[in-house]
Amino acid sequence: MTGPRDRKWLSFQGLAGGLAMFAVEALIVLGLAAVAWLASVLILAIL
Amino acid sequence: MLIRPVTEDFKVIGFYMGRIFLVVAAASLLPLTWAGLARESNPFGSFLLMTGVFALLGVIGVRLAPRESELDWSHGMVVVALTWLIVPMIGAIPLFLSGHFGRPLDALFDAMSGLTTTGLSLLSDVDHVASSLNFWRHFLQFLGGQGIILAALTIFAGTGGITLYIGEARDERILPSVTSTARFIWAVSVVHLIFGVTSLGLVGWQVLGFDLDRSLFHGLMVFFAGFDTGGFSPQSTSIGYYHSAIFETVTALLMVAGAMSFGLHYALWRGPRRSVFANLETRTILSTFGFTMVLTILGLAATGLFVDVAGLTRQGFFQVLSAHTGTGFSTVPPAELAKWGGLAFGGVAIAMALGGMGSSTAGGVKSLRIGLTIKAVVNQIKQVLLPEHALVGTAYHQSGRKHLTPALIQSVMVISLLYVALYLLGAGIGMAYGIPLQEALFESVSASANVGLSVGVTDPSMPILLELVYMLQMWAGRLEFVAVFSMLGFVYAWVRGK
Repeated sequence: MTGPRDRKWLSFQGLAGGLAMFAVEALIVLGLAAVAWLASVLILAIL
Repeated sequence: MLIRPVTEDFKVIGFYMGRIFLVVAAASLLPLTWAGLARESNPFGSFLLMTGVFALLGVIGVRLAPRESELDWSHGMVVVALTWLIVPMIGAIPLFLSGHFGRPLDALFDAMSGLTTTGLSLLSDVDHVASSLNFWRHFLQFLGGQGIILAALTIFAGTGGITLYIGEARDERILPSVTSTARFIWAVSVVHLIFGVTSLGLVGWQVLGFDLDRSLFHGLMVFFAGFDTGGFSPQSTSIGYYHSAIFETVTALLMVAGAMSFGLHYALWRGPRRSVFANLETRTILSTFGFTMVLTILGLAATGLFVDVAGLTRQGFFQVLSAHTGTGFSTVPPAELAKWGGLAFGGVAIAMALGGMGSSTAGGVKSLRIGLTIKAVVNQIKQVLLPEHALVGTAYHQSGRKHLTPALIQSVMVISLLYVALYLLGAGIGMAYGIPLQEALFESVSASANVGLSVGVTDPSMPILLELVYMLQMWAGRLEFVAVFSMLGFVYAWVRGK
């Protein structure tokens, strides 16, 4: 696991994995921002 | 009966510490070079002195034990605890010599805050600090977030690496060897560094209208403090200085990335990706993010400080994310944060106390412990409600299928309770100095969970005892107690052992 496989980080597979990592991070940020927005809309409407 | 440590024990500890100091001395060449290139002569001199001290201590340590000795558990823990005490002491030299601190203890406070990725600061006039000194403050956060021991392990493998790795509050070995795990962590960090500096630099250059040099400088500083959940900022008004939603969004992404465990980064990068959302820790942190955010927004709306959706969303979202990831960036000044009060204050404080994921750069109790505690409580309730012979499932998903054992529950409870005790310690001392409960507790949690959000208690005029307690909280909180208690036990055995 630590030998040849690790050197594949710069391969297409490695690049796709890196992009997936950023995509999930962005998804979490956008998802949380959506929760904050929805909460703000609902709370301001109720109050 | 306690066994008194012998000379050989001190030599082993000195040898491993010496190796780490040599690595830190090599890292110190970066701010030294920066000061040289920027023609900042005073900082250059102080960085030269600091690098010399690190190198000297390194050489002395390595010469103590000419051949590599076996590092056992207690030695490793003492090495980690002492390293995290001595590196800030020497790292504070250029800070104090800059003249931006009233007393040496204040410079040590900032160095400890930097290395432990806390972000509370006693530096006066942040906006006019020499660029190399600003680089050093933020680089300290990068070193601390990545782990100085981890940095050393990347270079020096050897026996006892796992002890040092665990001592630095990392319990997840992603790859079979500690060295390959350390290298993977660096790979993730470098990829984020390229992304962070490029995107923040572009925003600064194209959107905020900064010069290219200035954009890249701010991008690098905010990356160091954001990805390593540190919270220092090159400007006194933190991220509020930029007044840019897109800058805040990129910063938010870096904070989230920093608070994610490196095991999760590995799963996302190398697969299996499906396991990421089945992970107990992922589910817990997403739930607590949502809960504290709603709580804070509800409290903020009740205060009437923000009456429109955009303002309420932006402030609530950023402050809670910063608190929960243990970063400490803010878009509101401490005096305004102090006015939030009630539920909003509670929401941010709870987010700080919970912290990020285990084996990440974040502090706090950590979401894995929260998730396991909730699971243990739910199981306990099920056991009471179900028929006597019914079996309650103990499996959970965390980098594979695992089981909740009584020993694991005990360990989780002990560490969680120690965090609560640490939060209360600083709050109690603060209250003894006449600080109101709410503010004393907020600042204490911020220091212990290595967050860095402040309501103004951390100030150059603060009492020395409180300053010392906050430093202790940062140190113990960052190392998650084990190494600290091991070091205290070692000292006790040295004094009282036979």
